[in-house]
Amino acid sequence: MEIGKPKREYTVEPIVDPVPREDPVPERRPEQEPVEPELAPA
Amino acid sequence: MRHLDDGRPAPTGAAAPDLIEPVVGWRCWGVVRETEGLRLRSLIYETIWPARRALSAVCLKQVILPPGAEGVTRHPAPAAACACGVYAASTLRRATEFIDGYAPTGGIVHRVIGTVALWGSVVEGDRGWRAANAYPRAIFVPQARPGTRDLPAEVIAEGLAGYGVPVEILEAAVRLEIVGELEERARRAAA
Repeated sequence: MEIGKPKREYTVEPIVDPVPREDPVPERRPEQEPVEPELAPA
Repeated sequence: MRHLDDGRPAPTGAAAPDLIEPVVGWRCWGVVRETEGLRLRSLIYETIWPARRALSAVCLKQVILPPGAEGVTRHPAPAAACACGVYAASTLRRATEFIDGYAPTGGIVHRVIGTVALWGSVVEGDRGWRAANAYPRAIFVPQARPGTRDLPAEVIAEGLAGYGVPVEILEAAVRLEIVGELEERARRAAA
Protein backbone atom coordinates (compact mmCIF):
# COMPACT_ATOMS: atom_id res chain seq x y z
CA MET A 1 0.00 0.00 0.00
CA GLU A 2 1.37 3.38 -0.97
CA ILE A 3 0.25 6.59 0.70
CA GLY A 4 1.74 8.87 -1.92
CA LYS A 5 3.96 11.86 -1.40
CA PRO A 6 3.93 13.13 2.21
CA LYS A 7 1.86 16.30 2.48
CA ARG A 8 1.68 16.97 6.19
CA GLU A 9 3.01 15.67 9.47
CA TYR A 10 1.15 16.10 12.72
CA THR A 11 0.70 14.80 16.24
CA VAL A 12 -2.48 13.08 17.39
CA GLU A 13 -3.17 12.56 21.08
CA PRO A 14 -6.65 11.05 21.43
CA ILE A 15 -8.62 12.04 24.49
CA VAL A 16 -10.29 8.63 24.48
CA ASP A 17 -7.97 5.63 24.28
CA PRO A 18 -8.56 3.91 20.91
CA VAL A 19 -7.63 0.55 22.49
CA PRO A 20 -10.68 -1.02 24.13
CA ARG A 21 -10.24 -2.04 27.71
CA GLU A 22 -10.67 -5.64 28.80
CA ASP A 23 -14.26 -6.57 29.43
CA PRO A 24 -14.86 -6.24 33.16
CA VAL A 25 -14.86 -9.57 34.95
CA PRO A 26 -18.20 -9.97 36.70
CA GLU A 27 -17.79 -9.84 40.44
CA ARG A 28 -18.25 -13.28 41.95
CA ARG A 29 -20.71 -13.42 44.76
CA PRO A 30 -19.69 -15.67 47.61
CA GLU A 31 -21.57 -18.88 47.55
CA GLN A 32 -24.14 -19.02 50.26
CA GLU A 33 -24.14 -21.84 52.74
CA PRO A 34 -27.29 -23.88 52.48
CA VAL A 35 -29.62 -22.93 55.25
CA GLU A 36 -31.01 -25.71 57.35
CA PRO A 37 -34.76 -25.48 57.35
CA GLU A 38 -36.00 -24.75 60.80
CA LEU A 39 -37.65 -27.63 62.45
CA ALA A 40 -41.33 -27.19 62.53
CA PRO A 41 -42.69 -26.95 66.04
CA ALA A 42 -44.02 -30.20 67.30
CA MET B 1 9.04 15.02 15.26
CA ARG B 2 6.61 17.75 14.29
CA HIS B 3 7.48 20.07 11.46
CA LEU B 4 6.45 23.55 10.55
CA ASP B 5 4.86 24.17 7.14
CA ASP B 6 8.23 25.18 5.67
CA GLY B 7 9.80 21.90 6.76
CA ARG B 8 11.76 23.17 9.76
CA PRO B 9 11.42 21.08 12.93
CA ALA B 10 8.82 22.51 15.26
CA PRO B 11 10.07 23.55 18.70
CA THR B 12 9.84 20.69 21.16
CA GLY B 13 8.44 20.96 24.64
CA ALA B 14 4.91 21.35 25.83
CA ALA B 15 3.47 21.58 22.34
CA ALA B 16 -0.23 20.92 22.13
CA PRO B 17 -1.28 18.05 19.86
CA ASP B 18 -2.62 18.97 16.44
CA LEU B 19 -5.59 16.60 16.79
CA ILE B 20 -7.37 15.03 19.75
CA GLU B 21 -9.32 12.42 17.76
CA PRO B 22 -7.51 9.54 16.05
CA VAL B 23 -7.18 9.58 12.29
CA VAL B 24 -9.32 6.78 10.80
CA GLY B 25 -8.28 4.96 7.66
CA TRP B 26 -8.91 1.66 5.89
CA ARG B 27 -6.74 -1.43 5.68
CA CYS B 28 -6.71 -5.14 4.90
CA TRP B 29 -5.21 -7.79 7.12
CA GLY B 30 -4.44 -11.43 6.90
CA VAL B 31 -5.72 -13.64 9.72
CA VAL B 32 -3.36 -16.16 11.29
CA ARG B 33 -3.54 -18.70 14.09
CA GLU B 34 -1.41 -17.77 17.09
CA THR B 35 -1.14 -19.60 20.39
CA GLU B 36 -3.62 -17.17 21.97
CA GLY B 37 -6.12 -17.49 19.10
CA LEU B 38 -6.76 -15.86 15.75
CA ARG B 39 -4.87 -12.64 15.17
CA LEU B 40 -4.60 -9.98 12.48
CA ARG B 41 -1.39 -9.92 10.45
CA SER B 42 0.01 -7.55 7.90
CA LEU B 43 -0.45 -8.92 4.37
CA ILE B 44 3.05 -7.74 3.47
CA TYR B 45 5.13 -8.18 6.61
CA GLU B 46 5.00 -10.77 9.36
CA THR B 47 3.78 -8.19 11.84
CA ILE B 48 1.08 -9.50 14.18
CA TRP B 49 -1.42 -6.95 15.49
CA PRO B 50 -1.83 -7.59 19.23
CA ALA B 51 -5.27 -7.69 20.84
CA ARG B 52 -6.09 -5.06 23.47
CA ARG B 53 -2.76 -3.34 22.86
CA ALA B 54 -1.73 -0.73 20.32
CA LEU B 55 0.57 -1.70 17.49
CA SER B 56 3.51 0.70 17.69
CA ALA B 57 5.63 1.20 14.60
CA VAL B 58 9.36 0.65 14.32
CA CYS B 59 11.40 1.37 11.22
CA LEU B 60 11.99 -2.07 9.71
CA LYS B 61 14.99 -0.76 7.78
CA GLN B 62 16.72 -0.46 11.12
CA VAL B 63 15.67 -3.98 12.04
CA ILE B 64 16.46 -5.73 8.75
CA LEU B 65 19.61 -3.92 7.61
CA PRO B 66 22.88 -4.03 9.57
CA PRO B 67 23.77 -1.01 11.71
CA GLY B 68 25.65 1.56 9.68
CA ALA B 69 24.30 0.30 6.35
CA GLU B 70 24.01 2.99 3.74
CA GLY B 71 20.87 5.05 4.07
CA VAL B 72 19.95 3.67 7.49
CA THR B 73 19.64 6.28 10.18
CA ARG B 74 18.08 5.81 13.58
CA HIS B 75 14.74 7.58 13.81
CA PRO B 76 11.36 7.15 15.39
CA ALA B 77 8.66 5.84 13.07
CA PRO B 78 7.13 7.27 11.01
CA ALA B 79 9.64 9.60 9.41
CA ALA B 80 8.50 11.68 6.44
CA ALA B 81 11.74 10.92 4.60
CA CYS B 82 11.42 7.14 5.16
CA ALA B 83 8.66 4.67 4.31
CA CYS B 84 8.13 3.43 7.87
CA GLY B 85 5.05 3.53 10.07
CA VAL B 86 1.74 1.70 10.27
CA TYR B 87 -0.09 2.21 6.98
CA ALA B 88 -3.73 2.98 6.30
CA ALA B 89 -5.45 4.08 3.10
CA SER B 90 -7.80 7.03 2.85
CA THR B 91 -10.41 5.06 0.90
CA LEU B 92 -11.91 1.60 1.01
CA ARG B 93 -11.20 1.01 -2.69
CA ARG B 94 -7.53 1.83 -2.25
CA ALA B 95 -7.20 -0.38 0.83
CA THR B 96 -8.67 -3.39 -0.94
CA GLU B 97 -6.46 -3.23 -4.04
CA PHE B 98 -4.52 -6.33 -2.99
CA ILE B 99 -7.13 -8.28 -1.08
CA ASP B 100 -7.76 -10.85 -3.81
CA GLY B 101 -4.13 -11.31 -4.73
CA TYR B 102 -2.37 -11.67 -1.41
CA ALA B 103 0.23 -14.38 -1.15
CA PRO B 104 -1.20 -17.11 1.12
CA THR B 105 2.01 -17.43 3.10
CA GLY B 106 2.83 -17.22 6.77
CA GLY B 107 -0.14 -19.32 7.83
CA ILE B 108 -2.76 -16.85 6.64
CA VAL B 109 -6.16 -18.55 6.90
CA HIS B 110 -8.35 -15.68 5.73
CA ARG B 111 -8.23 -11.96 4.95
CA VAL B 112 -10.37 -9.18 6.36
CA ILE B 113 -11.01 -5.47 5.79
CA GLY B 114 -11.49 -2.83 8.40
CA THR B 115 -11.11 0.65 9.68
CA VAL B 116 -8.16 1.51 11.85
CA ALA B 117 -7.45 4.28 14.35
CA LEU B 118 -4.06 6.01 13.96
CA TRP B 119 -2.38 8.27 16.46
CA GLY B 120 0.90 9.60 17.79
CA SER B 121 3.10 11.02 15.07
CA VAL B 122 1.26 10.78 11.73
CA VAL B 123 2.53 11.39 8.19
CA GLU B 124 -0.30 12.18 5.77
CA GLY B 125 0.11 11.45 2.07
CA ASP B 126 -2.09 11.89 -1.00
CA ARG B 127 -3.60 8.45 -0.57
CA GLY B 128 -3.39 7.65 3.13
CA TRP B 129 -1.33 7.82 6.30
CA ARG B 130 1.66 6.34 8.09
CA ALA B 131 1.44 6.47 11.88
CA ALA B 132 3.31 5.68 15.06
CA ASN B 133 0.42 3.81 16.71
CA ALA B 134 -2.60 1.95 15.44
CA TYR B 135 -5.50 -0.23 16.56
CA PRO B 136 -8.39 -1.76 14.60
CA ARG B 137 -11.67 0.14 14.92
CA ALA B 138 -14.01 -2.21 13.06
CA ILE B 139 -13.42 -5.49 11.22
CA PHE B 140 -15.40 -6.83 8.24
CA VAL B 141 -15.06 -10.50 7.38
CA PRO B 142 -15.78 -11.54 3.78
CA GLN B 143 -17.03 -15.02 2.95
CA ALA B 144 -14.41 -17.66 2.24
CA ARG B 145 -13.42 -17.65 -1.43
CA PRO B 146 -14.50 -20.80 -3.25
CA GLY B 147 -11.61 -23.09 -4.03
CA THR B 148 -9.31 -21.68 -1.34
CA ARG B 149 -8.32 -22.76 2.14
CA ASP B 150 -10.00 -19.73 3.70
CA LEU B 151 -11.71 -20.68 6.97
CA PRO B 152 -15.46 -20.01 7.24
CA ALA B 153 -16.32 -16.38 7.94
CA GLU B 154 -18.17 -17.34 11.13
CA VAL B 155 -15.05 -18.99 12.58
CA ILE B 156 -12.95 -15.93 11.73
CA ALA B 157 -15.47 -13.50 13.21
CA GLU B 158 -15.68 -15.44 16.46
CA GLY B 159 -11.90 -15.73 16.67
CA LEU B 160 -11.32 -12.01 16.19
CA ALA B 161 -13.79 -11.00 18.90
CA GLY B 162 -10.86 -10.76 21.31
CA TYR B 163 -9.88 -7.43 19.79
CA GLY B 164 -12.89 -5.90 21.50
CA VAL B 165 -14.09 -4.00 18.42
CA PRO B 166 -17.14 -4.62 16.21
CA VAL B 167 -16.66 -7.61 13.90
CA GLU B 168 -19.21 -8.05 11.10
CA ILE B 169 -19.60 -10.78 8.50
CA LEU B 170 -20.09 -9.73 4.88
CA GLU B 171 -22.08 -11.58 2.24
CA ALA B 172 -19.41 -10.79 -0.34
CA ALA B 173 -16.31 -12.88 -1.00
CA VAL B 174 -14.22 -11.01 -3.59
CA ARG B 175 -13.01 -7.45 -3.89
CA LEU B 176 -15.58 -5.76 -6.13
CA GLU B 177 -18.45 -7.37 -4.24
CA ILE B 178 -16.85 -6.42 -0.90
CA VAL B 179 -16.42 -2.80 -1.94
CA GLY B 180 -19.98 -2.68 -3.29
CA GLU B 181 -21.45 -4.13 -0.11
CA LEU B 182 -19.54 -1.82 2.23
CA GLU B 183 -20.32 1.25 0.10
CA GLU B 184 -24.01 0.30 0.10
CA ARG B 185 -23.89 -0.03 3.91
CA ALA B 186 -22.32 3.40 4.16
CA ARG B 187 -25.01 4.89 1.88
CA ARG B 188 -27.76 3.38 4.00
CA ALA B 189 -26.14 4.59 7.22
CA ALA B 190 -25.88 8.12 5.83
CA ALA B 191 -29.49 8.22 4.58
